[in-house]
Amino acid sequence: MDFIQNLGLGFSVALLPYNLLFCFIGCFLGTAIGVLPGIGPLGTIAILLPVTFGVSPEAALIMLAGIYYGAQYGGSTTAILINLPGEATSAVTAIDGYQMARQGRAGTALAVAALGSFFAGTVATLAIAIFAKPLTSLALSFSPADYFALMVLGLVASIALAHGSVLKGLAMILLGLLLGCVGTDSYTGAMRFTLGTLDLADGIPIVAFGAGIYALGEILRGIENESDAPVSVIPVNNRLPSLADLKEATAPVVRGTLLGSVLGVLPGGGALLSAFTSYAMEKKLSRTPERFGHGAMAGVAGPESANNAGAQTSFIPMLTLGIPSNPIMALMVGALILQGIIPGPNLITEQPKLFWGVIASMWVGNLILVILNLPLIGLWLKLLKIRPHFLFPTILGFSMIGVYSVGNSAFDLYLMAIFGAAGYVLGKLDCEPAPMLLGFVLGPLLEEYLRRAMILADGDATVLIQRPLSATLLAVAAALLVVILLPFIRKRRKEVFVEDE
Amino acid sequence: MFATYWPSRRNMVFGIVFVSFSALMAFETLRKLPIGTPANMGPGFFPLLLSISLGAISILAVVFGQSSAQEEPLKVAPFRAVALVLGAPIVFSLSIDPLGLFFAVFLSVLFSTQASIRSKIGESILLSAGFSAFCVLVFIYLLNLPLPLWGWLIAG
Repeated sequence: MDFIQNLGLGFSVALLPYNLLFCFIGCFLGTAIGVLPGIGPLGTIAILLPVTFGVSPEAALIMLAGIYYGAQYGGSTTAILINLPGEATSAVTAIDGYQMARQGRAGTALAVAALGSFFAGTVATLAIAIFAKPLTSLALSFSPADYFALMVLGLVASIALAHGSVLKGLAMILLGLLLGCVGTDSYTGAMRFTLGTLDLADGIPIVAFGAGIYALGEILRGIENESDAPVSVIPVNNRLPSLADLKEATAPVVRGTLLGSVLGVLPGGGALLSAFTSYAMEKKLSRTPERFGHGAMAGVAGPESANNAGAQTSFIPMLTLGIPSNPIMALMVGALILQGIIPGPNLITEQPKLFWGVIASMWVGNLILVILNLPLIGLWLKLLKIRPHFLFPTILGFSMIGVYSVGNSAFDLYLMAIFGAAGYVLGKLDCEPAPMLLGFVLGPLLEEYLRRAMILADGDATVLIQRPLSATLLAVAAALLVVILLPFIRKRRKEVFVEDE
Repeated sequence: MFATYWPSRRNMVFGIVFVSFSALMAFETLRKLPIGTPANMGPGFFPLLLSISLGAISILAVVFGQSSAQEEPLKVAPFRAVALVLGAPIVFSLSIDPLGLFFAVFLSVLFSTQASIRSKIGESILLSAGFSAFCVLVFIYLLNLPLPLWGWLIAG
């Protein structure tokens, strides 16, 4: 029982008062931004990234992690009480959670969401502790071709997230990869697409990219829907769920937890994919699927557990392989690099305190979050009283300071404005930003491993399918692509023929 | 057979934007970057591969995309609001060096508040000033970020 010892080491780090304080700050901020629409974990972590330079690496990562999974808790609160998901991952929760609240079961829905998340967080913490070490040893035997195949699979999987056109999702990935090429080529030192300016020599800064696309994009969408109607919050009545409620929620929570834990590990996975998949699964499995959309408990319990489990296990590829599986993990990698630590298979042996401390802190953080979210829910609802036209300028202000402080570069703010405009236009063209951001993050790594694999194989492209692991991963990616493309093309053909008649 | 089919206007715009962007990137790559060979890829190999694929996928997306018959009306924020929100980072960028953090935040936030139809100028000034003071307190005094409080124009 090696992992119990390791977890012991982790808790001894996580429970140090200093780290505990940062864990609390992270969870507190995470809940706040989860409740507030318009600012998400990506923007917040981006803003705090430069701040983490001044604290120890453990405290930095513990706080940033708390923001990510804390946002999953906060997001469900607004989804349930005002039908406004504070966080993209809570969009599914809003469907049935809000209906439950309207039927006078707001307290039950909130409690089930929080307790389900806590259960999921506990299981995910254990899962990371158990599987991290074997995965790390496995990762050490990965060849460049395997890494390449793994990332391709992650990218393809991320399209499953994007609703709407699969082909547009693919185009967004390629666009992201292409934008990731901007900057100095690591092999030859050649400047690529830098438009002759040194400001782009290190590539497009991810914070400016993310803040432009997400923060500015969200604000503009908010202004579109501006109305004078005050936000109506459904009062929370019965706080505790009955035993029957808990019994009803148990199976969806367990299923959501397992699903989220698995999907979180996938590159490209994480909280969002887990929540959507869990909702679809619960609806399929339910004996009363017609209740979904009208206040089905499983529609809250499943996705809420899944998104928290997914948020946590998405740390696995980052901590063990050094591959960020989503943009948020890319920022975590950035935080580690700021501290002079390169994440990868060696992290676990070189920085055991950091590695296990962060994992143990997740369980501590989940405990803090249950306390923050259940008894203190009234406090968070006060945040919603802030009028949107006061809120968005402050969110914008924080984002601008965040973008500027990463490199003290005024140029980065122009990039933020440009990507804000691009993000808004792309949204109007029915293009989802998530696959693009993932492509942008993985692009440099993908190219690096492809080039390395081709050098080793002397230009023989079949190297990518010669090893069993990479061949399997690529085959799965190809199969996945076919599965999501086929119904799409068939539907289109049907539409064409229908129009003909 | 396909006489009634025509891509939606949104998809036409998508196709034009994406195909021209990929063509531009491919052209730039071919003009400036060595491609190399598969065994020894140059800096241009991956970008060229990507831009060609992007062009091809974009065309497919238009062909298999929504037809004009299904198009929903487009909802866009007023131009004034878009310009004010996107202009805020530019105001910040222009003012941070000469005026420093306090005024950069104050000016850009005040600028962006005008995007909302519900903002009143008095309230907005109060909000921007309060928020700027808060940011100075948190980021400069509490977190010690190396940000200039006053720029060269003020501090000399």
